[in-house]
Formats: sequence, C-alpha cells, structure tokens
Amino acid sequence: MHLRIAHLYPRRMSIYGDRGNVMTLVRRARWRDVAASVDEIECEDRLEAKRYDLFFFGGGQDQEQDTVARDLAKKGPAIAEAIRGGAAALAVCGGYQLFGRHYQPADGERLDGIGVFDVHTEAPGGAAAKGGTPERFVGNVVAAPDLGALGKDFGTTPLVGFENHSGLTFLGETARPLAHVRRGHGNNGRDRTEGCVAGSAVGTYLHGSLLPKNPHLADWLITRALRRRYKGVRLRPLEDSLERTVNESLAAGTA
Amino acid sequence: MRNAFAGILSRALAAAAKLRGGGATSLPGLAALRLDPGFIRKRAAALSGSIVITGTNGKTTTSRFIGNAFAQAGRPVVHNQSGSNLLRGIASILATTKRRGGSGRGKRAWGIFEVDEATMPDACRALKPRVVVVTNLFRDQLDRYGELKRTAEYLRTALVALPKSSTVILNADDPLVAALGQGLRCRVRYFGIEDTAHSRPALPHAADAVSDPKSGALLRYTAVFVGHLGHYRGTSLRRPKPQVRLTRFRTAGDGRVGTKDSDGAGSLLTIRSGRRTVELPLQLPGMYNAYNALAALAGAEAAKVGIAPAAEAIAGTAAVFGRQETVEVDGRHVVIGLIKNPTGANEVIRTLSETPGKKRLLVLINDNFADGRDVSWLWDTDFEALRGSKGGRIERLAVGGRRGSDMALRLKYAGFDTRDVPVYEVSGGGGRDGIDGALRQELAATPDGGTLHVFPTYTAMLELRRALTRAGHVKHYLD
Repeated sequence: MHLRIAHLYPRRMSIYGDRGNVMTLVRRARWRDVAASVDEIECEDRLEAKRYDLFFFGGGQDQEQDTVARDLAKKGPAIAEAIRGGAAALAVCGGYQLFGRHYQPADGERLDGIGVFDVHTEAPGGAAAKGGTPERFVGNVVAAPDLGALGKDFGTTPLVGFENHSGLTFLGETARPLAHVRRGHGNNGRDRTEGCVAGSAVGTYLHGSLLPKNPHLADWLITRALRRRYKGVRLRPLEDSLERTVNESLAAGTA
Repeated sequence: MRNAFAGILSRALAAAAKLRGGGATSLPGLAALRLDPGFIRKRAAALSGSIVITGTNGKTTTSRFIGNAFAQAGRPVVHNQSGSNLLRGIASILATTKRRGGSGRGKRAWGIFEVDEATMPDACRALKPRVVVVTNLFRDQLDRYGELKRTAEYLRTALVALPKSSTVILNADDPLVAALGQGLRCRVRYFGIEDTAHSRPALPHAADAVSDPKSGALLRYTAVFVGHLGHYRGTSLRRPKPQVRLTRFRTAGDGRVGTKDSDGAGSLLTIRSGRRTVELPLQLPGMYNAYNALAALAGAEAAKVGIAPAAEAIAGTAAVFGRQETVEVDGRHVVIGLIKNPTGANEVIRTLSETPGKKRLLVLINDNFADGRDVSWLWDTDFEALRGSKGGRIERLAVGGRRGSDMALRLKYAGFDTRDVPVYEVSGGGGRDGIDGALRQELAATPDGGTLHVFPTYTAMLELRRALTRAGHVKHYLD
C-alpha cells in the first residue's frame, strides 16, 4: 500500500508545528510497512488533486493567508472534488478557515473558501464582536471527540492541542463538529464545539502539533485515506505509550 | 522627590531579595514604577545616552558585547545584563546599578538596555535612545505576540518616533528587519554577511519571512546563513547594502583559526566598516554569533566607541548566561545551550552536531510563561539533524522539564529509539524527578573528564543554574 499526501503551501502556511502532523502521518504509515510520500504544493506549482489520498493544510500568518487564498481560488475546486470523492484531509487553523464557506474580515469584503466544510469564520471586531475588544483564544484545549462524526470505533480518548486564533468559526446546519470542548475555546468560544468533520476531512483549530499527541486521530485519517484505493484496510496497533502519556498529561491539565 | 524615594525603596528591595538568594531583576523596578510611572524617563535623562538592543535572538549576547566595548574604551555604563528586558527590568537596573567601567570616573554613564520586542514602543518613549540595534526577527512565542508581523509593527512604532539625531542599526540580511529602515527620520546603518562560502543550499523549514510583502511572491535567495537571514531579492524589496559587513568568515574547522577558546569552537571574522578592516577572533561559535558581533560593532561605533577597542572587547567576551556556556562540575564539563525558538535551537543543534566525538545530551523543556506556553515549536525545530551528526553520534540522550514527554515524543518522530531515553519530569505522568535530579543523574552517567551537553528552555536554564549555584559551581550572576 502507498499513502500519497499533498502538503498544501508548506512554505507559506506552516506555523505552530503544523509539519509535525505530516511527520506523524508518514511515520505511522511506514511503521506499518505502508509506503508514504509527500508532495509539497506551493502557489507556483501545478496540482493534480486526483492523485492524492490525503491533503494537509496548515495555519499561516495573515499576509501569507491572503496570497494562498488567491491561489486557492484556482486549485480549490479540484481539491474539494477530490475530498468529496473520498480523499482524507486535515486542515488546521488558517487552513480550516479557507476550507470553509467564507471568511468575513473585520473590514473589507468576505473571502470565499472552498466549501469543504459547512462553516464560516468571522474576524473579531466584525459582526462577531461588536463593541468588544478583539479576543485571541490562546491556550491548551481538551475536547471530547464527536462519535457521531468520527464513528463509534474512534473511542473516547480526548483530543488535546494548543489553540491560537482570533477568528470565530460557526458551524452551518449540515456541519458536524469534530469534538466538544472541555477546556479551552474551540470554534468560537460560545457553543463549545471544536473543529468540523465532513466525510474523511477534518478541520480544527488545534496545533501543538495535533497528531503526535492524538495518534487515534492520525490513524483514523490514515485508514480513511487508504480506503480510498484499498479495500478492507485495518491498521495494526502500534506501541503508543509515549503518545498516551503526553495526551493524558495534557488532558489532566498537569502539563 | 517621588523619583528619589522610588529609587531608595527599589535599592532596599533589591538588597532584601539578594539576601534571600533571589535575582532581584524585576521586583525593585516594579516598585519604582508603581511609585512613579515616570521613573525610567527621569533616570534616563540623567544618562549621557542610551543604546537599546532588541530582536528575537542574540539580544543578550549583543548587549554583552556592547557593554564590554564600552568598558574597553573606559566608558561607564549601566546595563540590564541579567536579561530582564521588560520595563520593570530596565527600571530595576536604573534604580540599583553601580556604574561600571573604572576609568570613567566623573563621566556620566551610558545606558545599555536589552529590550523585549513588545516593550519597544514604551521603552523607547521613556529612554529616548541615541542608538537602537535590531538583531533579527524570528518566530518566537507567538502565543504571546500573535504574529511576527505584529512584532515588526511594535518595532516600527518605536523607530518612527526616534529623532533625527538617533541611529538605528538594522540587519540587512533579514528582510523583515531591513524593511524597518524605510521612512525613518533618523540615521540608518545596516550590517550583514558578505562572505557566502558558508551559505546553506536552501531555507530551513523554520524560515519565516519567505514572501514579498507586496506581491506575495516567494523571496529568491542566493545565499542563506541562519534561518531566513541571507542574500534575498523580492519583487518589491532588495537586500540593502550593509555598511558594516563580514567579508570573511572562517571556523575553527577550517584549520586556520587560533582563537582563545580551548575547544576551538570559535571563528575568525574579517569585518569592514567604511574603509576600516578588523580581524576579530570570536570565542563564541556559529554564524549567529558572527551576526551578534556585527550588530555590536555597528552599535558601539554609532555610540562613538572606536572600532579597535570594540573589536578587542568582543574578541575577549566569553559565552554569557547559558549561551554555549561551559561549567565545570566534579571533573565533568556541562555545556549549556539555551533553546527557545526553532531558529535559535537549530543553530545550537548545528553547533553540537559539528562537535567531534560521541556526545551525551540532556534536553529540558519547560512551558512556563517566559518560555511560551506553546511547545509546538519543538516540531518546527530540526532535531533530525542530531541523528546525522558530522562530528559523531549522540550516545546518550535524556529529556526533562515540565514538557519532557513532549520532547521525547518529538525525538521519537525524528527517528530516535526513545524506549531507553529517561524522561525526568517536574510534573505530569511518567516523570521521575525535577531538573535538579535530571542533572544529578545525567552527570552520574557521564564519565570523569567527559562532557554533558544540556539544551534548556529559558526557565529550565534558570532552574539549572540555581541547581549549579547551590552546588557551588556557578557564581550568582549579580556578583
């Protein structure tokens, strides 16, 4: 088996350890003798979206995010189609926002996303926070996975990570959250939801890196990605005691 | 009157804190500022002038170089050398320092202040510095400052307010820092590296300023030295021509360098400023310290310290406070390399991987406020480089600190076999002991005459130093 990963815009959109997610996907595939390869796709590159089993899209700083949003207007439809066709995806923070329906800046016109997730994001100081000072959600997050979105087999081990965002994301009517926040703020600090799941695509605000300390989510993504082209994929369990230790100490609030 | 009282109270608090064994680096200043918010402005007005040093990496080393340059020239200074670089730290030092620099009796002192980036607007308003040195801007503690661009905006706010008579020293090789030179009233001078013999082929992963601020196109680099520092060109920006420039960089590995450093870890710098050239044997390793030396030389020159005494002082400067500092403990060497962000950590890793022989390494990761609560930077740092050590492999590896397990996990995904790696944690699951215990046990595992390398984050380094101080191996830094 061969897992083909597209890392979208790694030079412009990769902060807060986002590439740790790609390392984790690659290592955990290879530890099971599944070949894994990563193509880095920049604005300057051509993208053949159909080739990939999994898309990774990280967070970025504002200026880079604008540049990427312009390029995504071209590449986006093919990516969205590949995901609808069964490819898995992990989109973090800025990547999550751009995979939503649209982004409403505090001043200026709304930016269209590619609509993988039925969510939209508002900048603080815009419609979301009239009169209030813009707040930035920064800190460790502990959230219970939404088994309706991820499936019962996912288990109840919490998702843990570090959030650092000022954009407020709201789920649309058809959207399913990734998880429910026990500690931290999540999508918008109000409805206790965190992230979004659509098919095999996961959007989230959790950095940290996310996947090394949530190996259950990493394996969920790898499994779904491989099932696009291989039948009856079941990943063999790995020795994850260190991963569990880090997950548990964050979940317990001791780290 | 208020100012005088604030000063007396601060000194009393400092003395009390020192008796208790504390560092007294911020408490007296906090008290002085509470009593008199104008304390810094009033005290600074009595100085002959001030130099402010800011930027993500290299502040403390550059400040130390400049402080020593003043001392070499016989000029008295007040200097927040403990690295306490917020307003309270500056106020503390103004309240409590004795003047340094013996032959300067009767002359008024200059202030040398290392200043945190976000504190720059307030600090410059109060200090009215004659010289400002900006070393570089890298990703560091974004959980505190938001984004790098915001950090640049803090600096811009501070710099545009400076009068014509001030001088700003900027790093020409850092596109984010060089851009700060646009539209200022004051004089701007650039420093940079011209010798491309030690350039790297590509930008490292942790590189920050990769795209042109106007067009968004990726910058083109013909040379990369440290992080995103190098020779770049964008569609709307170009690297400015530096006035203070490194024309030749030779390392101990070149076999032609005789520095004072017994480990031969230093380098030999040939620096041109205007029409003058100096040869500077630097004790501190790596190109990042060459940048610090250039920044310091340019800063000292702008404050009318001659290039010759400045170069001599920089050459005579040993490692400061955990920056590749060596401490002897019971016949063993402990080499401390502070790590706090990906770019700085990558350089510390590179220095270690170029050190010959088998190595023992202890990595201590804390996530206290001063370290940044977010440890995701560990994943942006190239720990993989430790595996392919040119000089020799890591034969023993241990981790510790509040987030020691996160560090172990990072090493696991960098391809290390972590099953035998001891995890010393202060709290949290799986841990054994604190930093004290980690040091003790790892030293016990180091043979007599051997070297233990320690990479601590900032607060882990403070804990490490307290442990070493208690054991009598390091002097208190105020002594």
